[in-house]
Amino acid sequence: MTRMVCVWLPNWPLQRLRHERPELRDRPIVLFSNTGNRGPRVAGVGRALLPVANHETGKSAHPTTVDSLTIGMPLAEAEALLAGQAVTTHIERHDPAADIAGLRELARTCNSFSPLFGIEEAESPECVLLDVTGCEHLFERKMGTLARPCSHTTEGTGRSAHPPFGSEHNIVAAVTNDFRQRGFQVRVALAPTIGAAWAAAHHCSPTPCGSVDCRSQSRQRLGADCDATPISGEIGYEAMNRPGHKGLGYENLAPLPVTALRLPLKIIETLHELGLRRIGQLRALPRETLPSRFGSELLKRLDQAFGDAPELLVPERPLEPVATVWVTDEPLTDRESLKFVSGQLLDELLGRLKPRREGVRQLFCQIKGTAARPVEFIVNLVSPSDIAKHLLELLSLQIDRADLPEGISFVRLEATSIASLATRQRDLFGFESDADTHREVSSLLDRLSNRLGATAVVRAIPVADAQPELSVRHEPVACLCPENQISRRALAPVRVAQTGASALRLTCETEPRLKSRPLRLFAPPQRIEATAAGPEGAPMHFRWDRCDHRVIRSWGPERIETGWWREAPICRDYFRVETQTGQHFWLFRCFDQAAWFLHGAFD
Amino acid sequence: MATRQIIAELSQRIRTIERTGQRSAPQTDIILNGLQGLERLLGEAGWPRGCLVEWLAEGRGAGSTSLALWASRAAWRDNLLVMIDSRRELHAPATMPFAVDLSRTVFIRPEQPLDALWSLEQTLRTRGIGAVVCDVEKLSSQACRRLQLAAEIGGGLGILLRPANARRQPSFAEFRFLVQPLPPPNPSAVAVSRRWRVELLRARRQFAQRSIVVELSNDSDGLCVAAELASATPAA
Repeated sequence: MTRMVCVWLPNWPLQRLRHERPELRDRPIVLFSNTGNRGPRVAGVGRALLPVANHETGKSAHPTTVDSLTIGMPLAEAEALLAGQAVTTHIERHDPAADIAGLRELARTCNSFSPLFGIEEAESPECVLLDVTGCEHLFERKMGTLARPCSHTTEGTGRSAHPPFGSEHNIVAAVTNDFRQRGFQVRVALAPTIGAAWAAAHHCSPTPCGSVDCRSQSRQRLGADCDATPISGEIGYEAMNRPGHKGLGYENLAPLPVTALRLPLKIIETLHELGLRRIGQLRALPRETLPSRFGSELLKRLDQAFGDAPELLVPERPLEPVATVWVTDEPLTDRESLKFVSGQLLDELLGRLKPRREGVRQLFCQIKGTAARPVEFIVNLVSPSDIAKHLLELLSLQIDRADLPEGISFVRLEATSIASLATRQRDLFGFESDADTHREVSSLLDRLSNRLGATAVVRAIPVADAQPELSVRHEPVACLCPENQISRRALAPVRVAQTGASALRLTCETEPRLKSRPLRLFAPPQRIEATAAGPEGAPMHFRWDRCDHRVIRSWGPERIETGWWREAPICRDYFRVETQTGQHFWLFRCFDQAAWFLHGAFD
Repeated sequence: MATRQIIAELSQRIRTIERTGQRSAPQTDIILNGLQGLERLLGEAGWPRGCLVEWLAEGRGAGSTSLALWASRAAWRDNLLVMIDSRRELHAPATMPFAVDLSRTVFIRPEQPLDALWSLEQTLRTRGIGAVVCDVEKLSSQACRRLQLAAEIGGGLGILLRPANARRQPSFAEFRFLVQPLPPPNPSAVAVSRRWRVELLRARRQFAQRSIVVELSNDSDGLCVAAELASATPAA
């Protein structure tokens, strides 16, 4: 007898967003999508989880407005309704692919409950399914100790003390606790089939559910956040299998509404028109007549729920590390043979990745010799690669620089980050395409970052900061954040880092000061001896780089001052000066130290 | 009209003879020169692909970087720009007025001069790189030759910023310019203005004119560099 657990995460797209970005928890969320040609429409609305009190009225500020939104209304209308709210609403495009990927990821974390786990097969899945057949004995402890199941069973004597379904009850409790502790809202149900578990999770709610609205069941399930009452998994479980009830529990399905059968919206509407609201009513009808009246889908779902038709759980496989090891009794002595061994290990590693059509983005290499400490290094790639020659070249760059131990007897390579390769189609005649040059560029960046170090190959990201030396941030090109990946033609667009509330897009148009900044900025500013015309005046003469510079023209001052709340606030008067040799420099007078500094050159 | 066409064809043939080996396909397209008036020194409307250009100036702050970036800004319109900055002093936001898109610019900051040269050669050799900007103090003629061959394979523009005393060293670069600041045209002006003489020290071919005068005015609509036509000096 199979036992399936269905974990329903209501409004999964909203839950996923809040889980990935906890800062959104206290803000209402609106999701929109561009289905059809009528412009962006609201696809989902979520209230803030922590109500933020409005200071003036003392009331909760947002529910009225967010609740007034309906699914399917134009986004522009929703924005107009939300304008002028105390709490800004987070508006984002609905990303179904990320939802599915996130749910898969979540399913993989459930391997402590069952060896078989997967997600529901639907257009927009919201359920994680676990096959717990034969796993009950792992959960026979008392509920309180069941944050995680233990791998050792208790003695057989303890078993009789529990009610018949006691250990199953513990499974549901453990799963529910586990998800709740991670901050998810769940409803959990356990039943003999996937269909029945799904139905119980969705429709056996702690509050007596009346007629279930069609809309909440259809593709707009993404809709408004479900009610604020705590969702209890155990009750869903009990409704299906009351303690002491020995049967399969199928008769408990009969009072459930027909929406519990995972049917398309159209069929449900037809059933409602005919007055068929409960599963029991459907079961009473002659079975042969159902397909001709409602299509084959209905009968299939009905049979799946009652265990008359098989339904397979497509299991998610846990990601296993991809690593290869080489061990020998005869120690290696030179770098060339080490490179040869690494090449063989790489071939083996890539051979394993090949059927998955994946490439390496990060490679971890461990070399052990007679010395106690192993030598370890990491090879980072800008974009995933499956070309052994390229990877070996990068490894060799590191091997050449590494301080290798004597008598190497152990080499281990592990692909610590793997990503799917971008498929590429070649031209018919093999001409160079865009993808070819793109590959060349990313291979160049790989080589540079692995020889010079990741911090030496950077992108510059402007920061809206008045202090010139802090107005740019350097980010390594070869780092693992996806935002940094080189896109097809170029690097991904730079987002200007925000220091204030408003986002700033730095361009020459919006930031006229850029034109008055020197191309070369010395870090740190170099202290110079200068004579000035008066305590506030421009410099007349200064000495730098073993040369005397006489100022013939100057522009300024430009006062740059930062607030006292900074760790090291500055107060500087900048002058652009032209010397008698025609060179342009950027000097400043530092008021704190009463000294002159050379900060840059307009080269 | 016919003579001009013949001259253009002949110069194209000279160019293909000058190019070594068959690796460099005869690329007729050029990178548009951004400095108005410089074409009189270049002999055509822009930079040939895959060439090295040296910009020499005395001391820092003389303005050779600005002129080099301004003159070759078409090179990174569609492609990546790589800036090799071993002294770690290039100020990225200040390059934005030179049509530099920072999202498509990679800064390389090596610690050793040898690493800088290695990066320069690797980058020049790569197709898909629009231009490489690099400060180069010392360069042996052998290394220079390697760089030039690398640039011919890659097809990008190699911009070498060098001190003025490099003019005595031999070079394989296609062009070598010397930038000399001139006294400002009207010293009493409030706005920032600069003036330079750009002298062509060396080119593969000889041209009638050897130097032009270039002026910069920081007016409201952006950085503007324009040649002053009247004061162009004829060849000595």
